[in-house]
Amino acid sequence: MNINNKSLIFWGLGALLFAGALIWAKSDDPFRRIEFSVNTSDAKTRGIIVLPKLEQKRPVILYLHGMGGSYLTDGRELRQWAELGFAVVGFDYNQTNYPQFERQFSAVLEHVRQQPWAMADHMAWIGYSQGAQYSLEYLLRHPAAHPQLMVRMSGGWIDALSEMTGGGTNSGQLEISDLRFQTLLVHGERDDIFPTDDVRKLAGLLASNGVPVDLKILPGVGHTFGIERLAVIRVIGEYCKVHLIPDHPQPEFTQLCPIPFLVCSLPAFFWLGAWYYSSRRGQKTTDGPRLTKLAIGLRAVTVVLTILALMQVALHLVLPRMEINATTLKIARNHLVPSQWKDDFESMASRPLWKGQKLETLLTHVELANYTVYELVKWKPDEQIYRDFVLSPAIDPDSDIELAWRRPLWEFYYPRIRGEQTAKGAAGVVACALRERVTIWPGGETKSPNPKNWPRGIQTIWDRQITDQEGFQLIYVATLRSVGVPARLNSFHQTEYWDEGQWRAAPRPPLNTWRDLNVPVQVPNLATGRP
Amino acid sequence: MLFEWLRGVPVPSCFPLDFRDIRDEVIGLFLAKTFQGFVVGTLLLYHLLLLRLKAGGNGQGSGVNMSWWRALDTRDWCKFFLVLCAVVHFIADWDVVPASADKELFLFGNDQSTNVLVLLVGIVLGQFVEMMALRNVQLRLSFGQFGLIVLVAFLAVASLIQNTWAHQFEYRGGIRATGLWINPNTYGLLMGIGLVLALAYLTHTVSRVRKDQSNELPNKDSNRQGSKGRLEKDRLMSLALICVGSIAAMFLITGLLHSFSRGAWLAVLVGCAFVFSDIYRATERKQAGRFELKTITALAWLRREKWILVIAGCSVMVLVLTSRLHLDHRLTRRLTSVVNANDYSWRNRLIAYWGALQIIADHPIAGIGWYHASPRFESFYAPPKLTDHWSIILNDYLTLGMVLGIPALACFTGLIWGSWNGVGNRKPCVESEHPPNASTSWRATAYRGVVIVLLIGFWFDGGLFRLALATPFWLFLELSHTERSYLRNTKQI
Repeated sequence: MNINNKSLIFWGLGALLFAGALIWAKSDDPFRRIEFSVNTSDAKTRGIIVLPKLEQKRPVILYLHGMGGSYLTDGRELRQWAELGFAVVGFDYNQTNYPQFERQFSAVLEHVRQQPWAMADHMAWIGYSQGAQYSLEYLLRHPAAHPQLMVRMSGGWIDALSEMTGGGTNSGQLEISDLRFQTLLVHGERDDIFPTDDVRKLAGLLASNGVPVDLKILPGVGHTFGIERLAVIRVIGEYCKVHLIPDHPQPEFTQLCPIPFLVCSLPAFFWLGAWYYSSRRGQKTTDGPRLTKLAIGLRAVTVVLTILALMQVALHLVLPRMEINATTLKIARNHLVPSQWKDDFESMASRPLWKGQKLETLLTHVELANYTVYELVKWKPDEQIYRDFVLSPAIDPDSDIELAWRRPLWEFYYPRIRGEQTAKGAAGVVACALRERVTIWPGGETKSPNPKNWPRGIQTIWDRQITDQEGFQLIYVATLRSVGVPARLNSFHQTEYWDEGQWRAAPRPPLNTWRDLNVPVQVPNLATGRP
Repeated sequence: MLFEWLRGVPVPSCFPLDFRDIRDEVIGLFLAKTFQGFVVGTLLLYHLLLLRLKAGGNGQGSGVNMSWWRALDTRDWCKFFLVLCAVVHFIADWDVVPASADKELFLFGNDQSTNVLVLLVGIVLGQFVEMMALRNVQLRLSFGQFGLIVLVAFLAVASLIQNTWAHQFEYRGGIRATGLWINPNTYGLLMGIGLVLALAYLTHTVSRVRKDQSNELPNKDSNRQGSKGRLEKDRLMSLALICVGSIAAMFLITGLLHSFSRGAWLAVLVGCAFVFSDIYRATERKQAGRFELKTITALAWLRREKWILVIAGCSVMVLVLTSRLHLDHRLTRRLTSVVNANDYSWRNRLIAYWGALQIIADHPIAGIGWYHASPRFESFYAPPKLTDHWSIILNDYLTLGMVLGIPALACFTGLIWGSWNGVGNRKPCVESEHPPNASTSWRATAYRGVVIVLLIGFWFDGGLFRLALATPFWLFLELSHTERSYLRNTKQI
């Protein structure tokens, strides 16, 4: 192959750009993913470990998916927990053969306990459906291998328990009284695979044997938890954190410092520059041909066009980054605001809340609110309602210091409500989806910061992903407004939204805080059969 | 191309029920793991056989007695490595793949289970075309004369067909045209292919007609009278072809615009610019007529002033895109949506590129295998704000890197680079009865124009793993390489 100069440039440039892009993408990745396989006597078990990038020892969650699942499809759950600061392990197991599962699970447990990043004595097992069934059976057979916390999602009664409670012959291997760790049972009220009676019966059995059990039946949801699944997963993660690391109960979110793409691609530019320099160095400088009139004209036109383009770029990129004042508003009014937004722009600019804010913030509110309500969503509020409760970023005097929240919230939540036909439907989706991303820390927790210290700025809440009840209501209103649903706080500081001509209480997330899962099962009174 | 159509088109009710079930059976067969395994094995054998045959031909041509595998050129090794990676991954994933892929996804065009088949079919088809083109010059010339005309005519007719049976893609309340196919981006790129071929043909024919006119001899004797009559007939024929070609081009442009595929628009723009400039660059000054001379001079001037023109063009683009002219026409909205910060289409693509790079960084050497790109991205790499995960399959280069690893991606790039530069064919062409001329040159340009269109399309909308686009890609890649080598090697003689 004849490698000439051009191909060397091409390959070198391509390789450097590609390598730069890989480094850039990796620097912005919050997780480490470690795929592993462990061998048992009869099978190979494959799995994956997802953990936050920061190297330190972490509490471990061992997740067992349900029937038909695979570790390749567990990622959303695993990442949801890893985001809270856990090292999370998912693996494939034989879903139809318990003895083989037992060997696989033992091998995975052994593998995880040897890992340098694992806090082996701070471990939770979370089983969903079939995973919950098998993990409980494993525990009953191997009580010594118990975790510090066991969570069963949509799990039911298992035959091995019937053997113990007199429904069958007890082989003598099962001892519930050996189990002395916290257990959480989360179940959907409309679960048609494992009825709620089964889970209540199980909770009663465990409680009566001295096992500390919390039982939460989620109203209106089925076996898979539907659209509320990821919100429930998040709250379960928060519950695990509180119980596994009581000294540091709050989630620990990884803060990344991504390298800008321009920096990553610098070697490619150097390569190009070096080639240009070396190719020019060998050439003698000679006077070029005399320019024709056409060439001179072309250059003149190009200079004029370039100046105009640079001015236009400055207008669009520099001006919005300047603070709002009479001059910037005037320039924006004349050059940046299209006629269809003009009224909205004027009505917003006249409000007193823009002091110290950047022009970009005002423009983004006007543009996105207008675009969302008039071009995207199906419901159309009255003009006054639109201006006061969709367009306006003013929600609460405490939160109005940070106003640049509309774009990040719109980018995240609009695709989720895109198919909704009504404001009510959209509000329901937003309630769940917001709780997936934002932790509500309960008030009155002695080890949490003073509630008064929780930030009230919506951007800060969104970036930190944690707040208290009041903060959540603020960001809830902001999110509803960002997707075109008119919303406000009522006199009780609760979120309301405008639908069909009246204010209605906004839907609540399926679970507010981890405390909603803290529902201890009382030991049944043997005489009355009641707690 | 028709394959994609067949999976979407409804069978008319006049056909018996059993007949209608045949298509479902065929689709089921294609998606069955065992069938795919059989086809992959067969294609591997064909690939090796064709390599052996080509190497045998090369060895004989060079006149040196050496092992057959030593006669393989860089492109052949790139193909071999690509095929090897594809087959090894297919075998490695055998246990984790379900017995049959999802039929609904297949009908929708998002199915990934047939990717390995399409890639292997494409490579083997390319090898076959290369071998036939090298061995049978007459066949190559016939394809250049008639095959291209038939292809352009077919695409022009296809652009008139309104697809009502497949999933309807919408843009701002209007339906995006898909023609006989099930995806507007596929349709747009196919229209682009037709347009580039039509443009190349028209440019060449117009240039030839004008040259004939300028070379016309004065009417002095009876012999020349007969010759003039023949010339007149040829000219009329050429004019008729120009008219038909122009009409076909109009249809193709209409289809291209109605596809609302921005990737196809960009690809066609670049492809047409390449064809226009390359055809005239290849025309030698001494052969050129007055019209060509003017064009060649203009192009030479444009080349000299290229940097000034680039700056001016960029400035105009910035001025147009940042102007306050918020036109409501769908075409202009679509065109300016590339600078619209609220456009989820390109934003999702960027997020997908970012995710794909992360996957490649985590699995740089071996990749993640044929069946895991989409689920892995959705499960482990897609940021939570992304709701539409299909954007991960839209960039074929990154898909190749994710699925087969960086070495395979490098091989694919090397193959393109080698084909573009005419690297390879050690055996010089000796067909003295068909010396290269302007006709050979325009065909080479047209083929390369098509390859450019598809390579750009593969970046934005994918196509390397769709039979409708992969087939023309491998076909024209090999033809462009063959024509290029033929031009170069014959010149050397």
